[in-house]
Amino acid sequence: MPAIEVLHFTKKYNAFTAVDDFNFTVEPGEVLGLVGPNGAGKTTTLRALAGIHPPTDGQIRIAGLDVQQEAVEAKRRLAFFPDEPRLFDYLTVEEHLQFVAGIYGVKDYRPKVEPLLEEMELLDKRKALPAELSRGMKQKLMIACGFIHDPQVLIFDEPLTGLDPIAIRRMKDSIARRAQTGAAIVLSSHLLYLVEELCDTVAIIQSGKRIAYGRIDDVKWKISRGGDVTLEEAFLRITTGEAAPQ
Amino acid sequence: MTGTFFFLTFRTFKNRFLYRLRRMKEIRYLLGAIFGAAYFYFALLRPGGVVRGGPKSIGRLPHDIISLFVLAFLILMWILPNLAQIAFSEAELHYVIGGPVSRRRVMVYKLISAQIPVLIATFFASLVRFPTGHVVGFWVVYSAIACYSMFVAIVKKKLNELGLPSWWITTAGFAALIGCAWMLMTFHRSGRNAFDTPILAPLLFVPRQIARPLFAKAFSELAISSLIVAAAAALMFFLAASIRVQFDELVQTASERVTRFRSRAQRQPGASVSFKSLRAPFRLPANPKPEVAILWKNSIAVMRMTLSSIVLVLIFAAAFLAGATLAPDPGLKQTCAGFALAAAAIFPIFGSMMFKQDYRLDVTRIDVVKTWPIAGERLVAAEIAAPVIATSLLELILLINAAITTSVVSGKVTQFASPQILVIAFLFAVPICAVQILLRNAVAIVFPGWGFRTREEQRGFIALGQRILGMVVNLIALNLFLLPAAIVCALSFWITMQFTSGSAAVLAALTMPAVFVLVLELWLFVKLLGAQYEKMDLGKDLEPVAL
Repeated sequence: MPAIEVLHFTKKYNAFTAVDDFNFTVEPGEVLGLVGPNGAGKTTTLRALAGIHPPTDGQIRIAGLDVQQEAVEAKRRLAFFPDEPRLFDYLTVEEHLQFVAGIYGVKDYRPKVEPLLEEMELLDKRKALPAELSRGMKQKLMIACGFIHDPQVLIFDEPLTGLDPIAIRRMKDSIARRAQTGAAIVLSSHLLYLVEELCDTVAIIQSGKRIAYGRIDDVKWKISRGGDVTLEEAFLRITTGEAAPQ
Repeated sequence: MTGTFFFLTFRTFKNRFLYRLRRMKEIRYLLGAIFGAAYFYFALLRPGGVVRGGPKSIGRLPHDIISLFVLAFLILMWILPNLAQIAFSEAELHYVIGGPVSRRRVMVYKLISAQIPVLIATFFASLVRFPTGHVVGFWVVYSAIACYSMFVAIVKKKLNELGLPSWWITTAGFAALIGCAWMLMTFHRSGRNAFDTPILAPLLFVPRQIARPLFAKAFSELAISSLIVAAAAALMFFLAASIRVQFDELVQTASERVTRFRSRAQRQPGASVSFKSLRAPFRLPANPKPEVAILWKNSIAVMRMTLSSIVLVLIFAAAFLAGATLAPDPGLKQTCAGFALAAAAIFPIFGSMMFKQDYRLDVTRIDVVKTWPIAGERLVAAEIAAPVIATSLLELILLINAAITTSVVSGKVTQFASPQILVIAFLFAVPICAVQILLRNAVAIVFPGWGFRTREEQRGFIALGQRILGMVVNLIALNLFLLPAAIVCALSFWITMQFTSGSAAVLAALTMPAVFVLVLELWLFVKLLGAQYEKMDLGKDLEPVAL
């Protein structure tokens, strides 16, 4: 059973169609990169996956559960990481982890806090409030909060923004490690070389429509008609109209 | 260059005005504008309003008093940070200060950009029928003060650069201020007209000249006095422009401080952390339910964000109690008891604004909140729990305080604190606090896009109108909410008074059904709001751009 199923997902804001008839699936252990120009509908799609935006049409399933009809159970299995860290000004780093563990009903969460803080290099900041953290540290805290309940599905909206090169490398390792343990991951990023390095499959979206989807090598091969190109080159060709939608 | 500055200033004003006009297409802004305009009309402009008709005749004393204020203001400029006239926005810092613009031109730009608020204030002054002379005088005086403010800021910086610490300047300013106040008090006690004494009269000479355009009775006097003030302002401007100081550094520091100050002031009370080191009021269990986790989180927020307000309320309560018990004057005792009663009566409304560590605070992180695995009604109930507990506890303390203070005084005030009324008040305290907090949260759930999102939105008479409208709707909703319980309660009260001679114990027992009705309403409303929360479409309600 796919960990994520997006079936004919359409999202409209009044007369404006943000996403139109979008389909894809992500298997456990798979990393899907969602790429597209600004305003293509990536964030809308990710937010719909997380249950924030109800679809206007279509269905979204997380671990076989409809994200609208069985919202609580579906949300228990996922973690959403917005592009901007949304933290509570009044909770310390450690309290954030305790709270998120509580909200997701993590049984006996205390032994998990220490290794997560260590993984995110926040051990010496455990008593700090968000106002005392740098942008990168806030990002790491948000990611630590998402990891504490061992979600089956991880949804990242621009996960590497604001991180230094070392932190980017560590974050990539963290994401890859979660995929190896069976988590299904969807991430959107404009850093296409990172998407190419980290993801198994890619979905390219433009003006709310899917224009390419498949394993990265297949997508590149189809767009370049058998040529050897990078994902960035393939992306530019298809979004500028040089190559036909796949 | 000056033309560019005029263009920037007036185009900014025009664009802001048009933006506000365009916003009227949205119902909340239109209603806000209507209520704001109505408030200004009824408060200020209607016949018999506060300022309609303006000052008919201005005698010598008001001029002296205004001169005194001007003197105090001129001295205060040396004491206070005085940054507004040398602070710039981020865009101005980048394009004006960072551009190839001389210091004198930067100062000219600042004076030009100050003209918009002056002209608006002048417009309102003319609306409330100030004599024309005063309006023109107001404009001249305000512009002169802007020049003086700039001059003082630059001189202070120069003195700092020469090695004079800021605290010396502040101390000297305070000494001057205290000296003036002392002289005034001394002359006043001696029965002499303080303003004509040989010491105070020369001191007030300059402030009198500055204030003179405000009080000119004839055009010639207005013209001459305005020219004198304008000449003095020009002198200060050129002096300020020619003093050698690290102007860019001064401007940068001032701008950063003003930005920090504004962002602090922009935050609503109870929305910033004041006591970081306070610990959670209870330990989160090892396997908590999501509701408990939310209560735990919000109770930490209450502790860290509102402790000073809680202490303030308790100090006031203690002061009323002390006044009612210790004051020698019976009138003062009654006043204190009255205040204690009033505090207990209005606190549920005030408390709901003081303790907003609930969904209202979380709505800014709604895209994270919406991913929490918890059903809508449970989330709503959990969100309001911490502020309800905090408000109810304080309300019960205030009620006990009111009961004690009224029991030690005599007079009319005791009628409002009969045992029957107190019984009803104690029984209803907690549900009423819960209703009021739930109503406040309901606005955030039903109209998530109605909150103020930018500093621009919080200003002006439209925002004022929106606040008035919010309060009116809140009071109507609260009354509607309480109506069924009030009917049941009135019946209980009548039965008790009719058949048991007003026994407080019987009344308490008979009031329980009314309390039950209110609790039932609360439960239904929580369910309703929970359902609304679950079907909320943020993209539609908040506009995609806001998220």
